[in-house]
Amino acid sequence: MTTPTRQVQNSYDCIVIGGALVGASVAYGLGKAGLKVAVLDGDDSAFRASRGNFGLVWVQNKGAGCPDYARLSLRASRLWSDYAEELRAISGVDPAYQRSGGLTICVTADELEFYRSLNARIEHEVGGPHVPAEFLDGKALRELMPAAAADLPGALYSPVDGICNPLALLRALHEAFRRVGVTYLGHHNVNRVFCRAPGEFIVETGGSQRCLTAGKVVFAAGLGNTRLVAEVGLEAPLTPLHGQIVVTERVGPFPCVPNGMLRPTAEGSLLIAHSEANVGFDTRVMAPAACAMVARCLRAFPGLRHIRVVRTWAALRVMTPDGLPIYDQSESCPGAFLVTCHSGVTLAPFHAGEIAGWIASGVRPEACRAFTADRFHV
Amino acid sequence: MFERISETRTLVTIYVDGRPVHARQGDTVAAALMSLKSPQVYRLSQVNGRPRAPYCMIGHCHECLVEIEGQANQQGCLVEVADGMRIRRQLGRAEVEI
Ligand SMILES: Cc1cc2nc3c(=O)[nH]c(=O)nc-3n(C[C@H](O)[C@H](O)[C@H](O)COP(=O)(O)OP(=O)(O)OC[C@H]3O[C@@H](n4cnc5c(N)ncnc54)[C@H](O)[C@@H]3O)c2cc1C
Ligand code: FES
Repeated sequence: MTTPTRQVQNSYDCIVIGGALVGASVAYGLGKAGLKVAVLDGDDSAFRASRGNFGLVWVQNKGAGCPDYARLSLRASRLWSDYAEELRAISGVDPAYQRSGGLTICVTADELEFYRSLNARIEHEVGGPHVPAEFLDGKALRELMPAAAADLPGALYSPVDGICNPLALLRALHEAFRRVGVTYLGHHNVNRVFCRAPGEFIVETGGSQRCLTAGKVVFAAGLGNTRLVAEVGLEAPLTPLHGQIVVTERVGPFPCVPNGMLRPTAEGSLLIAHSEANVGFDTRVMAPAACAMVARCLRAFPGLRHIRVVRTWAALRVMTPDGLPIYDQSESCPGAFLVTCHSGVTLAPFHAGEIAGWIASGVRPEACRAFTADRFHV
Repeated sequence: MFERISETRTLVTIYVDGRPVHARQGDTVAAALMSLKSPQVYRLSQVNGRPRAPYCMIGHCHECLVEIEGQANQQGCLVEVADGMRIRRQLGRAEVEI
């Protein structure tokens, strides 16, 4: 196979800052649209949610208070099968997407009631049928997952939810954007971006290419966006939210429908989540929180107590004040875009498709009109 | 695969897939298995079925997984042999039942 090699140049149609899930998705879409694109990425010391996440492609329970987000999540999940196949074909790397269906497992009757009303609210706000989902009682849950504890009150099941291997997704995206001619510059931390003239951005980096110019610039640097965007008239009020994953040894066949606390992997280990903590820019593992989430998982699946844990890690979610994405273009410096979100796995096909299309064409898609940063000022 | 240099440590007997073989006191399970002429294959990958063998010998890489005394997925490089120890190679997916 031959791959296009391109010499590093200093001037691009578009520079994407950040080469993790969000930046790589956007860059791939822009490369496909024929733009001359460079991705400037940090190094291994960066905070990178994309390398520490749970890999769910998730819709259920999302979007209360923001029907556009509920719709966006559903739309992205519907794009996923084709997207995974496209990435596999162009990159040779399979992101291992499976539309497995997904569960919200409730450990108490109150939880079940909470999710019942949450989903009724989302459906009401969306204004019609939304996620096809059904509530299962304990018996129906155990038919899907025989390992579920006998006394669980029930679960919410939706067939649209799924999983992928997020590290394979990132690999696939990097290979895919290279195939469509995108230049990748790792170890190029961006220190400053400013607009020299309309449609002319100067990007200063700490890498070997100190200064680059571009007609457009996309901020997709996760938590790194915040300090960069003010100079071009954008706003990225992002905070880190600590989360942990625990990995078990590889096990024999185990019927497991992915859910918020447990998912299978193609290789045979199980991943356990979910914890949240506000601890600032700190990716150390926090044992008490990890133990609490494992305890909850054991409450739901007591048989797992025989399974050994082999490793655990923590990563920082990229959170906006309301947890929703920011898709914005600067008014004072048109051509400067901000693309950032939690759920960058789920939304990946949308970023490579409509968001890249918006950046290439300037025409803002309907689906993202609710996600400008001015919502934080009303 | 490996030759022992001069050996003075006490001999112990361990059972590999039911077959009695010699090891030396102080060997790790991984070292003991790799010093055998046979079997040649340490284990087969749980993921793709290909032959694998210990790599780091210091507990990091998990390439040395082996069943020891009925407990699957043990890191052979972290466990010392004992006289009479029963070891089974993992040829494919571990049978950890839930
Ligand atoms: C524990 C956990 C579980 C999660 N589970 C899920 C899930 O199940 N499903 C889901 O959809 N989402 C999940 N997420 C969220 C998802 O991982 C993130 O939304 C996504 O990875 C964000 O990607 P990103 O590209 O914006 O940022 P990051 O992955 O944080 O990467 C930022 C990138 O920008 C680069 N960068 C930063 N500053 C600069 C700079 N100045 N110059 C150049 N480059 C820079 C860094 O080097 C890095 O590559 C989870 C997150 C966590 C932490
Ligand atoms: S050989 Fe690497 S963990 Fe045992």
